[in-house]
Amino acid sequence: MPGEANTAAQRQGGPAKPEALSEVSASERAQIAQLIANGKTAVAVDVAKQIHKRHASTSSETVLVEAYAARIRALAKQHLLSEARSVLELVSARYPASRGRLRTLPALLAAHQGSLAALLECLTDPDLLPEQRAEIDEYIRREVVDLRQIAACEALAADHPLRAGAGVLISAFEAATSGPVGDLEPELAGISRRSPLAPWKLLVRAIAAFYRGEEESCRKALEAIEPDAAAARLVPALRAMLGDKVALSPAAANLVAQVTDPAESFRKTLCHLDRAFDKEDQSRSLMLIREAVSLCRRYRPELLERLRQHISIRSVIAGFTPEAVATAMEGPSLKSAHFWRLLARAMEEIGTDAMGSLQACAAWEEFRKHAVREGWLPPKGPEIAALYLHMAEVLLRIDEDDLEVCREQFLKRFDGFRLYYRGQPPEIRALAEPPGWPEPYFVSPHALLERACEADPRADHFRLWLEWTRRNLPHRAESVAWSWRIARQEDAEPLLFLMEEAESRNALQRAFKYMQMAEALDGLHPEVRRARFRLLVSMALRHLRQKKPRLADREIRALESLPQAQQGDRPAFVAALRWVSSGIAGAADEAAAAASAAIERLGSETAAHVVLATVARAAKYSGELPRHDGKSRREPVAEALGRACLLGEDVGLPVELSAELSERLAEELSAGAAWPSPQALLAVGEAALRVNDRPLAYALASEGLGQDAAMQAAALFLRARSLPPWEAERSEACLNCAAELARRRRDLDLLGRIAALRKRAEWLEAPEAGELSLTSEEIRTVLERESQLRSYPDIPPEELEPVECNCPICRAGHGRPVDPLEKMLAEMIEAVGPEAAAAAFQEAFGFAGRPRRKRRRRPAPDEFSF
Amino acid sequence: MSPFDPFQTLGVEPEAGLEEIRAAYLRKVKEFPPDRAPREFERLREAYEILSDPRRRARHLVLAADPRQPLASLLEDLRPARRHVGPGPWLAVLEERQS
Repeated sequence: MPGEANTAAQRQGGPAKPEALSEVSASERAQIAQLIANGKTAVAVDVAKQIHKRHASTSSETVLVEAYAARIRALAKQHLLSEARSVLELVSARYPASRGRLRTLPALLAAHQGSLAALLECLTDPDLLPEQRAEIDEYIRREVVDLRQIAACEALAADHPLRAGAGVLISAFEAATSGPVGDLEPELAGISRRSPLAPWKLLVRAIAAFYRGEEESCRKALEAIEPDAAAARLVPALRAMLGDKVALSPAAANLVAQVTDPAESFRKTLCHLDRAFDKEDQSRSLMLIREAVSLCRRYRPELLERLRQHISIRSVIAGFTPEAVATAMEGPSLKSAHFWRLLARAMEEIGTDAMGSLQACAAWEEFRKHAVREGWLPPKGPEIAALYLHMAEVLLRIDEDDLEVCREQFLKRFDGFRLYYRGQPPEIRALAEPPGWPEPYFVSPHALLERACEADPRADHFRLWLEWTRRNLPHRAESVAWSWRIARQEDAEPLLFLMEEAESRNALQRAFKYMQMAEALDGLHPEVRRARFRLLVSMALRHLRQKKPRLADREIRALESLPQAQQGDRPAFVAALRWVSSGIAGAADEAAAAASAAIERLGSETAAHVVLATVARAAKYSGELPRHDGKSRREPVAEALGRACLLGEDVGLPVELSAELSERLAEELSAGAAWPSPQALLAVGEAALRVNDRPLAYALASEGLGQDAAMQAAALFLRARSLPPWEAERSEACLNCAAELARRRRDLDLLGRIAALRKRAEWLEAPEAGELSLTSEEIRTVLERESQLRSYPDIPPEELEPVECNCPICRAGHGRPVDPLEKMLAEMIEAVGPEAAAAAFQEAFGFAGRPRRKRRRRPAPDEFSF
Repeated sequence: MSPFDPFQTLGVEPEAGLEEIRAAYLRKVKEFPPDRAPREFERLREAYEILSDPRRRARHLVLAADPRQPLASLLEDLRPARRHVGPGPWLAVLEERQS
């Protein structure tokens, strides 16, 4: 009010002045505000006094009181609290009308002295001006470091956001700094980002992220803390903990030292050493090894042995001089289980050839001995089996031929790691192999798998052992199956294997006995069910070949009563057996009835004739086939042959195509034949290959490629084998493509057949690693090309040039000497094709006839690094 | 980063027996209960499952060794690089500026 200024002037003892002449101008207000903002509060008070003298109005008094208030705050900030209090008392007394504006200042001064209660109490005042509330909030944000004062303030209600927030922050802060914590966010969510406590929330978040190792989150939270907030006082310490170079106060440096590892220099040396090893820099590595060992003794003496072991291994990998490394380490590393494990893994990594694998297995054997001594592994049981299996896996990665060659070299040179045992304690040396030790088991996958099965007799272990033995040591496979049978009497698989072996030796009664034993264990096993049918067929055929129809009759009756003999076209096959049996026994009516049954079942005279002919040939029966009534000559031959060939494959009695049927089929193919199924088409293709009718097989492969996408792999496999010798490259491309498609469709049967062909065929090199997988683009290219090339390839002109042939047949024709066996083989190849000839040769001479294959590079003797 | 090591996670030596492994697991679960530290608990559970199965344990023992393991990671095996020291030293930094 205007009169108040006058009264104030009179109180100061001055003469009474006239009423206010004018209000304070905007520029004067701005001048005072600018001075306060610049921190020149004393000058601001002086200028405000002048203004008030000039105007002596309410507004000038307000400006003056504001200037005083700023001065009081500045004094308080400088911890000149008594001066601030004196000024406050003076101003309050002189300008009582403006006391409301100074309401929070006493509480602010008390807060500066350490008592926050009065200031917080102001927050409950309903008349508190918004700017005063903001001032209190600002004070809390910038100055309050003891949140307990807020949490314990009784002037605030228990659920006041400030009090509740402070309580939450205290708990979270203590938890985050005391141990691992889970997600704190749900608890912190109650604190608003506009709250004066928001920087504390960010600080707690940063601390928790730091301990969790989430450095990015920690840095993000730190960046969000306002630099003038009280909580920001911990930001430099946290940044230093994250590895930043920051100037620290003594308390902050102490905190960083306590939280982080004091042996940081040791850690840095190890990091440098890691880099030196990676660069294979021996001289720098040796210098750093000396430094690391010295720092390790100082900071982590308990770690010294472990460090030496790792340095030894890294030196082996980097190819450093062992003596120099041992000197730098002040002695050799301890050759305990930990060392051998690392060495074995290192050898697996650096030596991917046969010699490296043998060295790795030798190191694993040392590991086994030490691991058992140190109690890492029991001497027997599943743990040891897992180790043997791993060693076997290491050797199985290597081609058996390469392994065989390297094994010899290895055994000549390997001295049981004698050098490694030098300077070791007696308990370690005690496990070194003495001179003249027997041949180690670990060089043979067979011995390793045998030990694995002994230690942990599981079916999958035996399966692996049997499978490997069957492929690599077929003469020992039966004994492996017996070991399996003895160890696990509940498994049908070894019996099935023994049955197949007996069957392959034509010991059908014995095979049947094994089948019955397997049936007793697992009558529902699909292999067992198939085996009973197959064996009964084999036994019936044998009796028929021996012209013993009565004995065969017993098996045919058993077949007729089998449920599995009723599936698909099998009854037609059983009828064919009955036809032969009746024919041999001279029961013409019965034979005719059986033949009719076969025709009826197959719905085709042609198909029935093919099946009857096939059975007759297998039984060496020369009786006449039922007469054609002319109808069969008009039947579509593709469908009939498809069914007959599929049935032949099903019962394990491959059908043989006659020249007449082949011709009719070729004609039908050119006119567009109808097939009962893609499988039937491919079965006929296989039959064409068996009679070496490559053009027909080629045409059938073309048909197959145009059919079901699922059959493309099998069709390509057929195409690969149907191509003439001068198309070897194309044939190999088809084979690779078929293998890739089969792999993608997980067709293990086809993959096995392709692998068997590769093994058998000398003209096929084993594919290199890069050729093992084809891209989809490469597959598409091969498929498109093979689908388009439907005509059988002509012989190229260069192949037609007359050259003197050196084959045994031509040599014999020219009257030159010829080995009879060689001639016989050539004739056989000419007649039945190379595959059938190889199979026949194998059957006749009882060995796999594995061709010589291109060997991979053998390791040179100087690569042998013991 | 060094590979997951169940022995280190449970704080047992490779020669520890089943009883010892179980005791270590229970001790660690008390320290890191699933409600407070779900990620730590998940690691503990995985480590216990590996070590309590003899085949997996052996397989891990064989395969987990890394010959190229960074040497600096050996320090992490023994002591965590970031130690929890409680609120005291942290508050001392906050209060330092006031005095």
